[in-house]
Amino acid sequence: MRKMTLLLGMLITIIAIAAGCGQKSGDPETGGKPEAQQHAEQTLHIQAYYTDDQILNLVQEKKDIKFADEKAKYLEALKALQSTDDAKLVKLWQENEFQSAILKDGGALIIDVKIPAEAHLGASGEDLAIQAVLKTVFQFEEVQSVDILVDGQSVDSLMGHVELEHPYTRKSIM
Amino acid sequence: MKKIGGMLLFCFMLFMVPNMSHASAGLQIYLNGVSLSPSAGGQIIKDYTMIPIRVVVEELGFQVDWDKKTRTVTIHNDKTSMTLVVDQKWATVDGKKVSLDMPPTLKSDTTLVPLRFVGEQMGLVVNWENATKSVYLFTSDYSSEVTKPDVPTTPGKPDQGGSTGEGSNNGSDGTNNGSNGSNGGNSGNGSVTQDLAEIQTVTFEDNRLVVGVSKSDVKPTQTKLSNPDRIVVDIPNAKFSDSFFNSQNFAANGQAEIQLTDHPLVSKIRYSLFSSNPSTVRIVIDLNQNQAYQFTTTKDPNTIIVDLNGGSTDPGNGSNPGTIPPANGKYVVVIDAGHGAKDPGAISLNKRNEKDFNLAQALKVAELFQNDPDVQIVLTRSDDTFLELKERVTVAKQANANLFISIHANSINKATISGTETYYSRDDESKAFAQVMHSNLVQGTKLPDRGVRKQSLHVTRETTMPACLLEVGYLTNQTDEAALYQDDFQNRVAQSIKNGIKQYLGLQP
Ligand SMILES: [Zn+2]
Repeated sequence: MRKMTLLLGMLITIIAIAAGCGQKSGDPETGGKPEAQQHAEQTLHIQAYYTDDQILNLVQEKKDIKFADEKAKYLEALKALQSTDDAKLVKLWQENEFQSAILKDGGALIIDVKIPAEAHLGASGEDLAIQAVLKTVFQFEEVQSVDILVDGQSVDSLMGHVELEHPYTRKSIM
Repeated sequence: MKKIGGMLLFCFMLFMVPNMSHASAGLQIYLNGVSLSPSAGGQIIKDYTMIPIRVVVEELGFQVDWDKKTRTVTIHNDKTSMTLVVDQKWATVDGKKVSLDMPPTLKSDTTLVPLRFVGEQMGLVVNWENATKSVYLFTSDYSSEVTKPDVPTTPGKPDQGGSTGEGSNNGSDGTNNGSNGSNGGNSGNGSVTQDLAEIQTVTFEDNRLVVGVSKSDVKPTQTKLSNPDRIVVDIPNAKFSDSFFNSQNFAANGQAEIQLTDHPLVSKIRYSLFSSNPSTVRIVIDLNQNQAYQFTTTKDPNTIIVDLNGGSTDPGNGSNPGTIPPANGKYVVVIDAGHGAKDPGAISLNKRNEKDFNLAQALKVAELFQNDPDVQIVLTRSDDTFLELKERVTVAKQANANLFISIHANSINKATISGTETYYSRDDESKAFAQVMHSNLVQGTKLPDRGVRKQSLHVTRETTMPACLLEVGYLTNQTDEAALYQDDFQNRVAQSIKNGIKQYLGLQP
């Protein structure tokens, strides 16, 4: 159904690097077991997703995210979608706000976003924006499903062209 | 003060005036016809109107206790007491547990409570008007006063002095701006009787409301409202003919009705002389459900017709008698103006709403097909109302449509991107249909051709007939935006859409 598959994204091993003395490296593939040093800042390489000026496909770019608390990494990964240094890429989430991304039992990630009307995209932009979120968070193996809420509410559509699934599963992005 | 403008408020209670001025695009809340301060901070969350507890105290006048620790709100007056807890889907009202569709919620340190629930439990009458995003609250004593079928008395002295007249005009401003227009210089009281069109008949047969009028130059307006669902038709510069008036059972409140028992679509039809300045006849069709319809006027005989045979918009109820497809041998093409009401779509560079472009463009297409011998247009919306994506699909299914076209304008976070795109979702005839539509559309828009694209979009995927979605131009591009809101441009685009439809159906242009 989807042009792009996540296969590549899923297989990418995300290597944590210690960004300095006393910092712990984490590996999202193992779910990052919290240890004694969990409050030390970590850096992760992830793939973030944008589109090109045809607004037809997702384009991925490597980004580093930093966080002290394991729990914060999903939100940090999503925030990576809001910026890029590559002027050729079009950001799909620049003006929207990720309010929270919380992993619940059973690998259910609940993402709460704010979508100001000024940030509404056209049909393909909306579809790609959702795909970008899904591909980004499904890089973390422990994430089994994703529910995108708007201001805490389960809505039919973010921007009026594409219906939201509540929740998305890994199947949704194949 | 309460009685000033009583007549207008009275009418307003009966009909829910559609043309409320809504300068601020946000939510409006009225208590007994008086607007609450804009700083009330009410907001709509998932179709529920939520208000800060501060407003419950300050504006509605109930007692409120807030326990921060347990996040519990207690609201009471001398009759009723209720307890609500943030994010808890039930409340306690006078000791009884009541379930809540929408629990109180915390938003940036403000506790918001569901207005309808709180209002109704505390004895207020709560009406929601979707078209204007307005909530009307009435205290029980107030609403019984206005709904009593007594002719409201004019306030104060019998002589209508200038200041009293002023007062009642002001009173109407808050509630009724439906009678703008031919008001120039008129003192307000003496209504001009010559030149009024006369309403001679009001009939409802075969799911069609037909209003017979004495003149052809009437300019009726129509609005679809919800909660309850109804269609409101206003005929300005009109009155009831004497013979019609005398033949009808007009109640003391100036209203007459056609009661329809067991009709699948309509419960009743009400009409009255709604305003005397300008003299305006209002006809309201009270619907049993959200219902698609077509609004037309004819000349010779001069009639205004509301045809409910266009199909039901009630999803998943395909077998109901309201969904008879038009059996007149025409192709049925659904034109879907994207977004609407609470969903503005994208916002343009100059802060104009996508939904307005979509609607204007859709109406222009419909207009071009008026009296077309081969094609009948069904609009998913003909005014600023909101439909969920699946409701748009339902309209097409129930109208037995041959083609489906959704009209949108595009938006992306890059101002240099400009041009026209056409989308389809299914690899059936939709692809060929999209190609035909697109090649015509780009001739109409004269914007850069960004091609036919496949994308999984709800309305083009879930419909069963050939379907495409037109992204006519980019609201985020200066050149495109300037064109999109121009009449000339929209006329050209409407013609190109018509050409595309005719070409695809193999009809003479
Ligand atoms: Zn749109």
